[in-house]
Amino acid sequence: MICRQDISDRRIEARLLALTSLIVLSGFLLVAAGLRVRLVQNPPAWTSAFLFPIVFSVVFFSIHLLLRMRRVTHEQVLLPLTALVCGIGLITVYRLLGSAGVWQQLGRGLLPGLLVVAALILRPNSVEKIRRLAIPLSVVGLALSFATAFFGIVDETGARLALKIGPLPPMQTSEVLKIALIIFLAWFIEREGREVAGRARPAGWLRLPAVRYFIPAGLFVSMGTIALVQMADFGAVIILGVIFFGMIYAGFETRIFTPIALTGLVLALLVGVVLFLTWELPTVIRFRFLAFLDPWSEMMLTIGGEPIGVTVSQGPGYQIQQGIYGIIAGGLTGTGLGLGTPEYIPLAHSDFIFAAILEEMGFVIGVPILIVFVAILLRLLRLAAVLPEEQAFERLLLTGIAIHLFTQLLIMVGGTLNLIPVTGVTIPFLSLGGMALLINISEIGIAIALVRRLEMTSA
Amino acid sequence: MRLENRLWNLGNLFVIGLVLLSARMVYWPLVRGVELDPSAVALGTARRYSDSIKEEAATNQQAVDEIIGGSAIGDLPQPVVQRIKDLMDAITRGSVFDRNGRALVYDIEGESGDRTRFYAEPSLAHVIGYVSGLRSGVSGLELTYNETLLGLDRLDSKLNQLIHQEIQGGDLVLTIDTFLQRQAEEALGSKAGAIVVLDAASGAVLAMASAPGFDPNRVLEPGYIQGLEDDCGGAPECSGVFLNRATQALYTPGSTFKTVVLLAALDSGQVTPGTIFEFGPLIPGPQGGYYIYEVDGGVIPDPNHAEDRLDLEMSYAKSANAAFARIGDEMASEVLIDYAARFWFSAPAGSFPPFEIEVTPPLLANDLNEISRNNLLRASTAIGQGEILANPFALAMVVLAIVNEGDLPVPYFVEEIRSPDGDVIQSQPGRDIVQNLISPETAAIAKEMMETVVERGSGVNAAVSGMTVGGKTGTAQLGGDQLPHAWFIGFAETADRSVVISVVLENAGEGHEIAAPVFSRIADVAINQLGRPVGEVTGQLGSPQDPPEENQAGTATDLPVPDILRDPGKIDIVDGPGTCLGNYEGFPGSGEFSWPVAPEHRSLVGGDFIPGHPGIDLGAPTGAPVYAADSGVVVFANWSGVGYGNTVVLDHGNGYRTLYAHLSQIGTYCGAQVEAGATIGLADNTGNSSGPHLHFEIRVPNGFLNPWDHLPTP
Repeated sequence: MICRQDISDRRIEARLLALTSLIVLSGFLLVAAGLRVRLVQNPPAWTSAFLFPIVFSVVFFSIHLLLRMRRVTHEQVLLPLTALVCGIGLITVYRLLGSAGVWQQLGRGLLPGLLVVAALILRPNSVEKIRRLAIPLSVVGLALSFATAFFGIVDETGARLALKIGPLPPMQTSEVLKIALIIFLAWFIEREGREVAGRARPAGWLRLPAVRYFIPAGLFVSMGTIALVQMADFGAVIILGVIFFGMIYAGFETRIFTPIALTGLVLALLVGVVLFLTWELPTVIRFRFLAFLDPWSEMMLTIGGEPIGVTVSQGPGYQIQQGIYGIIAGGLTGTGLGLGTPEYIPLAHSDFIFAAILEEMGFVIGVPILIVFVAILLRLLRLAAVLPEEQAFERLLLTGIAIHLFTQLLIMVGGTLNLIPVTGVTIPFLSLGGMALLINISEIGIAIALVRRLEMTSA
Repeated sequence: MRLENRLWNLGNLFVIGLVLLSARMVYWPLVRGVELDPSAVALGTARRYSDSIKEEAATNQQAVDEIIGGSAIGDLPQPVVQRIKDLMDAITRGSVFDRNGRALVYDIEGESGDRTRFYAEPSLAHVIGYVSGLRSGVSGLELTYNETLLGLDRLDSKLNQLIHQEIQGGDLVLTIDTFLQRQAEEALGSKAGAIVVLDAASGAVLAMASAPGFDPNRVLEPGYIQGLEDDCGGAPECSGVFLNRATQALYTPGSTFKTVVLLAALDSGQVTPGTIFEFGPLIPGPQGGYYIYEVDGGVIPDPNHAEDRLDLEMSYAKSANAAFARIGDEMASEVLIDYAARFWFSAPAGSFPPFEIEVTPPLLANDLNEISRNNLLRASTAIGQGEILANPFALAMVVLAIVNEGDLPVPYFVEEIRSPDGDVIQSQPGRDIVQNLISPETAAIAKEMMETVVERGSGVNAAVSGMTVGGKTGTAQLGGDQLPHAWFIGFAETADRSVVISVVLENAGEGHEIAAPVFSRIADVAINQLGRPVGEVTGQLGSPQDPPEENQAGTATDLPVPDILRDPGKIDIVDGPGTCLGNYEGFPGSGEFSWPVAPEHRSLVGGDFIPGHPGIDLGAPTGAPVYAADSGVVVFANWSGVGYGNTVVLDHGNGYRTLYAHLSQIGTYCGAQVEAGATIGLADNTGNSSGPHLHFEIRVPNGFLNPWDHLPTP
């Protein structure tokens, strides 16, 4: 799989990064120019349009140089592709929030994330240590989630999504929970997978694993779910569930996976039915589902049967409508950076960033962004496939990371396009977000570190 | 290799998921874009609100202002409105031309790329309509052909829209003859009423005047319409200015409806041309007495003739109420309802092809069952009283069917739709024909009888020398002490041309006294205009009249304006930057000047007519329309290099020129023929000017005239 004669000095990566830097620079310049054409008040300064792309290039080229110094020769596209998506996100944040937003994105997400990547590259064996983090990180993740659920910052929709500890900026703790679950499951399947499979009782074609093996994982997921429901972060609940089933699917053969999945589904259904009968659907979910069915609906919203004086189209449907109007206004080529009106879309810089991108850059950029995401995901899966079989933990870790990125992308872009109900999660690498971006970039760092370790062991 | 298989499956899942997202991404603009597109939303909203404007116009002026101005575009959130505005700003709406190629409506692009819709011919406001603040059509042809004018019905525009290029709308060429239109407008004078002129051969609408009118350039001015109506305290001659009285008003038709009854009675065989009507004893009265027709205890008076017996032809010619009340009384109600419906009176919905502008169908009675039950109502309806209501357009169609041997060519306004490149996309999209409304024999008899009306009946005032004229007078009694509506409907024809004209003048008096002379005057012009080859502009510029006396205020040598030289044989040639070259033939001026600004701006705000300042500065605010003081040709339309800013100079072809300076936008173009009162630009303070005003000059070959001496009293 790994070809020696590929490249010696990461020339492809250098070129791709240079190209990415050029794209980011032209994006920033176009934003600054476009906003001036539109005669927007206080357009960002020209200096910032040059400064940020330079900072961007410097940090990504630093990672590139680090890889060259450590004589890593393989996997030359993952970093530039990630840089490209991050760069487009940065351009859009610059367009919508100006320099302040870019500083936030750089300072709280991109730079810390790349520091983690650098650390992982310098000490590739530290991936080993991640395994030992499985239990502590899970406990920390759950603790943080519960802390957020009860002491977090309440946002305008009534959800508690972020926790503020001391002088640190607010943290989206559900991100920690997601990565903790991935590590926990990878560790668990590696440790217990064989035993689970070996001791499973045959039941016809299916094989039923002993229930006790799934108590820890089940406990983790249900505790996490309770915390997230309390936080009203339903997007994260879905992601947690998909990661759980996805990794079980990857870790066990069909005969074992099927009963687990069926049991999970039946349990989820049971809980769902019980909840449906005894517990009123949370207002947020009900509203979002109504908005999904018809964002333009003039139906009056109610809380506890009482109309609240807001229709679907004025309330939860409004964001979707604006997103769709933006996408239509953008069409094939987009209105041009700085020339559209994505500021009409509520939360265009975070949840609905994809609508903002489509409005000003059109499909000609929107579809390639999805293709780049596919490339990143397939690259992660390919790496998982080429790792030696005894590194089960690492392979499952990469699989889990790919599933995580994919789910998050699908859920939020799907929500933006009214393909599924909107849930408030961020789009990996694109949306404005500190902790989420940090963790997403670290996940890519894990992959690159694994490449280095693979080279070191096989050299 | 178990994990590898799983990874392979997951990879496929990822690809499928993202393909799904891409498909959904393309779905919105390509599939749903048609209905959700801001332009579609704008069109839908325009349509929805055009009706409510009509309803609100009478009662709630503020609502109208908001709706037209686009500040309250229904329940749409402000961002959607903004998106619509952004889109509309990228579109140049198509222009509208009359049958001779005269530009009636067009977009003017400002310096910052903003576009203003400009209506050069306000007398056509009811036909062409106007656009809202969002530049989407609100009424008239602007509404009907909204998509055509916006270019949104063409594929190349759709593509341009997709890649965010500017869009150019299609143009309309109308069947309207502007000269005739202005004559019709003038014939109405200060009275409320309407005139419809149709080309009898094709149904093409040659003119459609409705008074009172409004200036579509000013509908967006807050309070403008209300101001028009307030001016005379709600009197009918200035109320309901938005109403197109030719097609939307409903009047009692009076005796003109006897034409429909005549057709019904003849066609159904109830009467023959030889049928004799005898009238009962004469009831004594002030003017020699009158006959009556009694039915079911009711009495229908018949003061229109002195004879005690008349045949059908003379009963119609003299408009004998007793004869037609008898016909109505004796007519089976189904026959009356059937024939009325053939001419669209209380016709079932959809029985007539759609018209190109808003038309209100005429009404036979509030309840058609009552027509069968109530003989008095039926008899009254037969003489055009009772509950019956109609408009000039509907009655014109009756005459049109008679002239066309029982077939009805449906009236239409649009001769051609042209692409921005000038290619004809569609010809006469509104043209249609309804066959066999009545038999050709009936039509021929009725036509002859209509001619008798003008030869020796009540319509002698409608005669025009040199052509065959037929028609029917009408005097719609309204009860109380209101003056009746004066009606005349009819046709005029020569060997190769014929027109159908319908006239109504509200509360003006007797049809044969008031409406018939108007008919005669318009018929003469209409037949003449129809004889001109299309494209020929009416009115040739004559040689200059005796130069008016020169005023001492200035001389030609100290002109601080572009050097305008005069070719004594023809008209002005303007020399210098901004000079117009080309054909200068056009409307000659009348020699009398009207005000170039609206009444409220007719005061002096700056320099008066003194040596060194050869004009007057009128207090027109920025954006106020500037009107041509007299008919003429544009000989200068550009930025003036000598401090006048944007300037328009008209040559009136009779020795006079007028100059309009400091405009924000020039609403006309070199060589354009403008008629008196047409808007030629918007006032501002461009050039060497200290504040918004209109600098107005009247020039003669050797100098300037004091405008105060030549303008009417403000």
